[in-house]
Amino acid sequence: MAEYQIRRCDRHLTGGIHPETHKQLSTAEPCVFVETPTRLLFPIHFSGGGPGEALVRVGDPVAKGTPIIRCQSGIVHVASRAGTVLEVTDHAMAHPSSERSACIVIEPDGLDRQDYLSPMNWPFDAETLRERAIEAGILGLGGAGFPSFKKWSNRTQTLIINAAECEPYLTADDTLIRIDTHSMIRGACLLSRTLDIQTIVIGIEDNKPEALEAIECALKESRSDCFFDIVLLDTKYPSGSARQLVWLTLGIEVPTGSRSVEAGVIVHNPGTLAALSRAIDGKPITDRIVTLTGESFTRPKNVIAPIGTPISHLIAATDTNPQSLHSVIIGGPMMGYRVTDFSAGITKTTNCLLAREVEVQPESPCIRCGACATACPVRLQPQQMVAALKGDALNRAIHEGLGDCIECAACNAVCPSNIPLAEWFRRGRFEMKERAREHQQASDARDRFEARNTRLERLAQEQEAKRAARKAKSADALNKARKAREEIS
Amino acid sequence: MIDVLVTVGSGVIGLTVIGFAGGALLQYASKAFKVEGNPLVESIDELLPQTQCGQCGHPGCKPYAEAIAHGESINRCPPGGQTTVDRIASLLGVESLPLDADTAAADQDLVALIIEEECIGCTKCIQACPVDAIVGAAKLMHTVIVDDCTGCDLCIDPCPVDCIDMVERPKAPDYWTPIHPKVISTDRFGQIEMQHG
Amino acid sequence: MIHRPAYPPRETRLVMRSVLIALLPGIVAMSIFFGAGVLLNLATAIVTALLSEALCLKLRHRSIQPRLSDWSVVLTGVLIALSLPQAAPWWLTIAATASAVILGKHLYGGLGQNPVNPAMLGYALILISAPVAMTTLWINPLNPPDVEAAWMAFIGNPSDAYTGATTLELYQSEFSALTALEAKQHPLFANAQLGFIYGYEWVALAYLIGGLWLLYQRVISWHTPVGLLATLLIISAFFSVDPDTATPVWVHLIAGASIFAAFFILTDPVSGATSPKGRLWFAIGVGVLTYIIRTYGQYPDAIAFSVLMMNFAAPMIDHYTRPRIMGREASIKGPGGQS
Repeated sequence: MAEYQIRRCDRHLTGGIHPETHKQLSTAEPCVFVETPTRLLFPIHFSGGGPGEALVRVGDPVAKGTPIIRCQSGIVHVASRAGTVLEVTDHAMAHPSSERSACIVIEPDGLDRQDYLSPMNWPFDAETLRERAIEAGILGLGGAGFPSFKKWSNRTQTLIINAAECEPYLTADDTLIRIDTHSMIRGACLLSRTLDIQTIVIGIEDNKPEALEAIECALKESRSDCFFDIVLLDTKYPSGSARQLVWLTLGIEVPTGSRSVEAGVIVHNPGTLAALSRAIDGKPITDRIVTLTGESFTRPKNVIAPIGTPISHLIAATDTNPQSLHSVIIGGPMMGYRVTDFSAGITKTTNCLLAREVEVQPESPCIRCGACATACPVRLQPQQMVAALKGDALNRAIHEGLGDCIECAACNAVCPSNIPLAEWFRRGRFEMKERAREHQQASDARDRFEARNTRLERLAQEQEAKRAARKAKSADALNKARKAREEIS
Repeated sequence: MIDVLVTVGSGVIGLTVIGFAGGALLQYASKAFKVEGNPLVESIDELLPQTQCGQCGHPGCKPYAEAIAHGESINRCPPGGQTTVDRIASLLGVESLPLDADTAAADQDLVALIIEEECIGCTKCIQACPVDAIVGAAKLMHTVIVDDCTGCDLCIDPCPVDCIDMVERPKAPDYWTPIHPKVISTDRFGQIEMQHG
Repeated sequence: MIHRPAYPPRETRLVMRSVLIALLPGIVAMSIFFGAGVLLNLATAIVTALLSEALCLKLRHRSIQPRLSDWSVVLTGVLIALSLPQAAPWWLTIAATASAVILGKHLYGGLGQNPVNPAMLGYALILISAPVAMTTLWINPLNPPDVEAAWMAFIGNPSDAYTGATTLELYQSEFSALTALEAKQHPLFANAQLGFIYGYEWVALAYLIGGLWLLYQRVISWHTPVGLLATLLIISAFFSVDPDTATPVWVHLIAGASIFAAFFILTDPVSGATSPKGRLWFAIGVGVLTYIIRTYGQYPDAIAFSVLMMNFAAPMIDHYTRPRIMGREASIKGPGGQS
């Protein structure tokens, strides 16, 4: 039995909000597998892990687990079912940009061909695990899609399993913990032993009693010698944000501008760790749990779907007619984004489809009530930042702390004037990064220019020195010749 | 009469003394808080795009920054665009001016592209590039490093076979921009959903 | 009404509506003790406010219906009407309200853009422009007018029988020569039902009830009223060592517009500070300035001028009372970078 303790978190988020959680909507029915759809779509550059290149061509047969995309970071995406590559074409995607981009379209043939990796035997070292994580395409399944192997280093001291799932409506992590607890624990343990981590913290909100019970059962049966510190958090949004979670569970404030890994802490989604456990056994990521929820769905539930399943197929799995919906939100109500083209395929980071219609209120001027500043979990001043951004004063917004905004949209939820604050900050942070990138490029160009000038000057000086030496030498010879001639004459 | 003189005189003397005291204080401050170097030139240079193209009439961005610090007009940098003119105006605390160039052309983010089939390996473009963004050697292929190219187009003229084109800077395949909130503000449907309490 | 919400109201319109409801007890108390002039002023001010805002919006080419329907200008009108002398003639109310709405709000861009409290700006403007009217038309609560007399005052023929000096005016003029005991003999204090000041005490109590309800409903935070009232309390207590020369503590708190201002004037979100700590300092500043002007200044009541002065300081207060951002070592000071 693994050693563990359960404790109530004694820290409380300053800021944050208590929205209606709507979790019961999708946990009433059991989690089921969906039928294999007729098409699977994989964006080449937007599957997570950076821009990629296709490893297959039209007409190639693929098996379940055949690599089809390799990204710039090394991350590999695999075919989630056996079939044939039908086409590689521009297609709509499950992505906030609402652009069309190159996608690999696979037609599954229903057969059970597999193309897995070889199972890894313990013991293995960190480098081996990293390579396996790259080949199996492990990235953050909580929605951010950050390549997991990049977080692992020998500086890490603590692993936090992010079981908070604080965003309303989402129950994918809750469901995964309930039905696949052993994989999650095993993944966490193997990762910890490889990186020499002593403590594993599980941050879980107190509205998940079933998941907590499942964790306890799994820990009682586990033979791991890691110590598990289970922290019960108040149900508050956004306690599941990485920085907030690190502070709530460990009391460490990650300094501005740096990531939690630099503070010696890794935060992983439960699904990521379960996928890691399967990857160690040789199975790359081919399926994931998706929460299908919202008042517009007839029978909301959690499903296990192959990566690349079209959204329309998932909508149909809830007995809802896709024609009856104008759009669905991918993600939750706070941080999700709307898509209208339901032929797009889900990616590894699609954790939820939310279908509900909310009346959109018109925007009125800011009355400086300060509710947004009270709601901000990072203790920023959104009213100042949005005033600066609306006035095109990006530097002033950055001074107010735009770089520290976690884009949680808690400020949106409390604003009495219905100002889309989080959208301003998302756009503002994008422009901030663009400007920083341009500035860095300009700086580098200046450095190269100055280096070039120095080099040219140096070459010119060397030339001049050589010329002078040559002249001196020839003047010397000339003088000698003159003297000799004089002596003769 | 005497008390009028006394009143006026005491006022004049008093104010003169205050004036001298203030002047002395300012003199001390100008010595004690003196800043070395000319940070103004550096600040202006920070705002310039570092293309080093010479379109402003100066051999590089730093010389133009120095010229601006000495009164040159601020709107002569096309690669910086109107944004840079506005920022320099804001830094100096003066009125902004319209950019002294074709704005449409200035707004484009261009890089040089060497048509490799036509390149003869003469190294004239390599010598011309102010930021060393072209790799190559005599009689060997020349190529522009896209990330280092600032789009100054100083390599175009020296090429004897005219094999260099200016093209749009290619964006990364996974480049995307979040929707601007002004779109959301007006139609309020947009891409992002709001939670209402 | 009784249930305490978890968050402030979700719409501007609901915030304004809550404040108006909270003012009702005060309005009722004012009408009982000071006559129907209060109601006439209210009606005039509300109509003027709505018309001025509609005119300004039209001139600014903005749509009228959304802005008028958020009740913010109605609130401005009500606050001015309650600040003006109860026997004020119609032109006084109209002038004060119109200048508040036009000069104090729309000149700067409308809702959310006014740098100073519009009600206090209107009050100050009219106080300086029509000093006689503003100082001689206060109703004596011991002898409030009936409806007909109120109407006469409204149209411009006030009767001296009903007007009298306010408490603070008394302390500034008559009572400076009297001892505390002698001052207590004045009918305004001798006839007081609650033991303080006749009439004014009920009004202050009514405003207090409304203000506490606003606190309970989370429309306002405790920082502003506590800041102002505690400051006045502490400073006046500190300086009231000699009861014969200093204005008593309870006069500072109950007379004048102290309680009204603490809950309804200083809490204007647009012109005040934004952070909770900032609001506290803002209210403390108003308290200090109010005490100084009341004691050493020309005017008997000082709330309007103190509020206006602290309004100008509000942006700076915001710049120096930011909470410490998570992950940073210290809170940010100062306004920050250029564009």
